[in-house]
Amino acid sequence: MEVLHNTLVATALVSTPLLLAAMGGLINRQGGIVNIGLEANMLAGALAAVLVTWQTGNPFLGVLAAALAGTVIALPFSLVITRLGANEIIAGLGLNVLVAGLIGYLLPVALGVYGTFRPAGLQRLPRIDIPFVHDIPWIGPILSGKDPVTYLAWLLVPLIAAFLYRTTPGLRLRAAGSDLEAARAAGISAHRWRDLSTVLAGALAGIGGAQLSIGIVGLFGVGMIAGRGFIALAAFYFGAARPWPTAAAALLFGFFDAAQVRLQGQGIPVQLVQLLPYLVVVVTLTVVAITRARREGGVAVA
Amino acid sequence: MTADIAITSRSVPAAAHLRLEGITKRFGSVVANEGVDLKVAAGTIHAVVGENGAGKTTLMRIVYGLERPDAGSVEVNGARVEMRSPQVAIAHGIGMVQQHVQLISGLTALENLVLGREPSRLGAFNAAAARRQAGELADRLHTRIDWYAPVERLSVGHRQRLEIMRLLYRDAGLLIFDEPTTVLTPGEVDDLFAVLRSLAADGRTILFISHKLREVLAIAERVTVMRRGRVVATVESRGTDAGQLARLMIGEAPEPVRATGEGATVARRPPRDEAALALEGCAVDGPGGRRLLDGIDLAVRAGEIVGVAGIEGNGQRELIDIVLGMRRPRPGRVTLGGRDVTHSGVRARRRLGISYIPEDRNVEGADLAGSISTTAICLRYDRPPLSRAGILSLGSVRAFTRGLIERFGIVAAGPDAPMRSLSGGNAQRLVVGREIDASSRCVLAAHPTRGVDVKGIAFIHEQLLRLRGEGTGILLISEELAELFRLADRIVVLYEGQIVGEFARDAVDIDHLSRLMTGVETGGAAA
Repeated sequence: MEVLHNTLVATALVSTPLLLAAMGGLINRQGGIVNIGLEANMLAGALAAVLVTWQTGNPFLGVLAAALAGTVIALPFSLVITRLGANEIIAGLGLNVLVAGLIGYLLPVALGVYGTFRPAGLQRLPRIDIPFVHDIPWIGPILSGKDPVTYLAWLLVPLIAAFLYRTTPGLRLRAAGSDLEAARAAGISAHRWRDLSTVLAGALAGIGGAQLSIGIVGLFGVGMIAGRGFIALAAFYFGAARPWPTAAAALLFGFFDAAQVRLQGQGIPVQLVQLLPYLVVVVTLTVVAITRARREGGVAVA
Repeated sequence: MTADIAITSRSVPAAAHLRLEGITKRFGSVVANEGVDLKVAAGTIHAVVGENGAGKTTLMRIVYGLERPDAGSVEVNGARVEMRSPQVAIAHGIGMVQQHVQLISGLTALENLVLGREPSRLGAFNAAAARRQAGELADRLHTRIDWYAPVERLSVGHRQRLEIMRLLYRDAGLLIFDEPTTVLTPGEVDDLFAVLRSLAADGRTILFISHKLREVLAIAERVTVMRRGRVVATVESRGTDAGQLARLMIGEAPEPVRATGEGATVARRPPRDEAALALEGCAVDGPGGRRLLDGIDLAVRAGEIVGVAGIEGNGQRELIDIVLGMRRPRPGRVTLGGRDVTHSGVRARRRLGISYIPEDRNVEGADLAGSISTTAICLRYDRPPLSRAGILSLGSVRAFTRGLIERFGIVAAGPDAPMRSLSGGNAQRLVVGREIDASSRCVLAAHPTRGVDVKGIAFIHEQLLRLRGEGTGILLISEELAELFRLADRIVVLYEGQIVGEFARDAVDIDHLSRLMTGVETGGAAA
């Protein structure tokens, strides 16, 4: 029970990077692009947040910088796909390799550190208690006492749902994503909406990276994203690019990420325990694929 | 031959709503439109007819800003407009219902209706206002639509209706319909025509693209006929008849059939009574339960060439599919040399001796990314001498490919040269050579000379005649009447998935044939 409670207390915090990246990926997917490069946006956001927070002492400026970093990376990525016709999978993989390589090179050159950058006295995002909720026994600590970015991330879920399904820009974005030619024929600048969706994804994934670096761990490490961009991909695939199911998937994967940390040192080899969240992703996706195939009338047998 | 049958300038009462002058459009070396002039009077229904590939769709795409012409001008209500994009066309009150439905799946009917000009309040989509306007439009067209259903769940007729409403929602004054009836059932066609008439009565101008002459004469006041990218004539529909339009559309009758044609010079045994290929009662259903092919009874005897005439899209593709085994007829029976192959796949049928000269060798005939030998061996790679136990013998592969290159006079650098390095004619020679080399019983030839130069055409014709002489049964699908007249022993006419007529080689009546092809006359089968 103690382990479960501890895990639940950590879940909301640990889910946030996944949630933000998955929401970004979802918007991008609805805009017509499967973004494999979320990992790179998160990594750049994580670094930008640490650097700016370290220099200014203000973690909120760090979050802003992370959003900007994600955007700056996402725009050329999007243009290469929409205007030059690059394959989105190849471009996304390329982006991941490029950004990781660039940071791995610049870290020692510019900051004189290898792999990990942990400036002394780095401000972290503050933790905020929600009045009254905080005092509820057992439940209180699970919901309350998180950083502002976590609250923001959950606030974004209904906002993004409203944006996509209740506003005219959301409608045009979905139209551009669903059928480029038909959207053009309807008089919509489809490429521009696709680019916008990628830029939003970059910004959100960047903020997700910031929450990981200055919200949870308080340092930057070159391997710290550790496939979370791809788990986010799995989350919006699981959620069929709809906001609430996607958020639920992010929470589920976040729960096992939190559990993994709590289960270490219980006699099972660490490496195996660390596999847990990824294993859950594979199992979930398999189950989703099978149920969808059943619903659509039979699994395809080649 | 440009025959101006009725003079249009005299009979245009109202001002021209749309005026095209000297429109020319090329795609590479193919000329889609050449010096096209067109004048469409306001408030009328004006049809543009022509065979597939006559340039109708390209012309309409230019008007709607989806293509830019290489030369020529577009005038709307007397003012010249550069149609840079659909946005420009929409701003000038032009709307188009394209051949392929341009609705966006995943969006609801309502969202599709208002897309691009959404009613909104402070950036929020005003669904109530949209719904109200949608209801008014639906009432005007006397139809009902489930506005909150994703469009992919609507019937084809409803989707088209939704597209029309979309144009009205934007208050388009000039509505272009590109082959709107091909996807509809006869009842839906009647409904559509009622809608078009009421739109014209409202003072809107309608441009109606089709190759079905009966429909055109029923709905349009004026008809422009296009052939091979040019306007051949513009006529008042009251002053013409389908026969005249059919002749204009199909062109001059090809040279008279000579009983001693080229075929006579090739040694030939008379056709034997045994059927190389037989189809019995074959039908194919398309999406939405539309019959794409219906009640096809067709036999090709050994040593006989049977030609299939018809305008593309009347069931040719489905006919190819069921003969080759890419699709099963339902119901129906397919036999090859007397053996029932209805449930056999492509490979099994090929083993029984059917070969296929595809209409588009780049899609179905050749591996453009590979070497010449990959394309050459693809029917024989899994047998000795080319391979043993799954291991290719590269020496035999090269030797085999070289053999084809020499026997069929293909100009190529060698077996390992990339397929792309072959010219169109030589690529087709390779595909034809490969198929002929492998064949014994039956050849399915679909537009075998499309895009091939004169020398290549002569080569392909010679090969087909030689095979016939050797006792192979050949099913030849072609739009080129001259080709059918030259090669076929019998010609059947395919129209809307049915065989509507049959002619013996020496008893073809070109007028009758073109009327059957264009649906002016339905023939015995459909009557």
